[in-house]
Amino acid sequence: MYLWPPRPEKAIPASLIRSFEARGFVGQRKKNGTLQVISVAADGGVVFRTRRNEPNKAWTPLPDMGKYFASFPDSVFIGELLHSKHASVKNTIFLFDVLRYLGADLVGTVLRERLDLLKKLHVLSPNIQILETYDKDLTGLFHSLSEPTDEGLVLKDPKATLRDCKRDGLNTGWQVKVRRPHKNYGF
Amino acid sequence: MSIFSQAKTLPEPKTKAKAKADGVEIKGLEDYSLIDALLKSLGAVKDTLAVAIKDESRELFVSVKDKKRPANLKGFDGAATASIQLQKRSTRSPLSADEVTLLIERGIPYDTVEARAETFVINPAYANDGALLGKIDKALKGVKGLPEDFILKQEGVTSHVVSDESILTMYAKEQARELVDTLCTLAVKPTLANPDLKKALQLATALLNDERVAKREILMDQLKASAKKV
Repeated sequence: MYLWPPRPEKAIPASLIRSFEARGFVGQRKKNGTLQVISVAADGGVVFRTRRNEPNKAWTPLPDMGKYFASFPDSVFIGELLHSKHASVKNTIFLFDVLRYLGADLVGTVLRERLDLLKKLHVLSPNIQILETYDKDLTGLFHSLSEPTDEGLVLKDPKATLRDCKRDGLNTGWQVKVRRPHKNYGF
Repeated sequence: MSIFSQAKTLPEPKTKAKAKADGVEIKGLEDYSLIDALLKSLGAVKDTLAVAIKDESRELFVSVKDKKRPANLKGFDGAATASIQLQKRSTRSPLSADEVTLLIERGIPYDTVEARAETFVINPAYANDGALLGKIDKALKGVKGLPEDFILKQEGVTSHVVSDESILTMYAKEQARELVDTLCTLAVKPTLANPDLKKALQLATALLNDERVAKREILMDQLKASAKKV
């Protein structure tokens, strides 16, 4: 079963970061890649799909990646794949959420619990990384972003409860994105 | 063989790429854009504030014990009141195959509606051909030179949607906690008897204000100004 990934729909200007931080929001880098829903079946079969529930057209997962995720049967991970948009980074997934873990449905858990779960994963491959979560000076972090792969930040409420992921759009209210200035968009 | 049985299927409409627009100065566009940016920013803040309100309302709606669909709630806080509604999921948001499977497993009924009727349509290429249509009007079969693809077939599409019965059954079977997000949408419709816009602006200013960013921008302006002098 495909689970729709929690993701921000609304954007805010950088001047608002501080007020969100004051409300307890945490921040993660927004990688400029292709969102991946990594579903691991109970028998260890791994399927990588985009945020529109489509297969990747221009990317084939490395065998090591499938092998790694297969060690978490009956799980669903969410990450951003860097491969097609930047020549400097290939075949790298940054994990930032987990919706199902070893058979446990994580709907009803709060973000902080799922981030703690992700932190405990032992990742041995440089191709799979856990996206770091920041609790303070998010404005400073935003202004320090310089990597071309960093599109901006996503601010999330760590106390927010994960809602049903079988339906798209139920987990957009507890997160917002802040984009770095770019010629195609910006406040 | 009739022209209906041989009808070709209409292709799905394709989106055409837009031509690049020429630049033109329009007075008032900047003010309009600033207000637009402000509303979008406040919209994002509003959505995040709604999460806690909806979480609390949701808990009230799924905690009912009488196996009946609960009535709307009336929330209040200070000068504000709100109608808090557990609405049926819109037919514009059809159930996915996985959700249909889930409802079948749980014994929850749903509706199947025709999202697009299967029908025959006149090929737009001939729709304005008055002479041709006149002949058709007289005798469809007797027209000489009638193009083979005069009639096109538009394939029908059905979708599964939530019905009132779905929600009543969800409550009757005490499955609201598990299924409310699949079958319903929570709506909060606030009202203020005498909206205090001054207070609203003060709140917006407090939410939007970031002194450090403001100072940084002033500093950047000063640096640019001094660089120009040099």
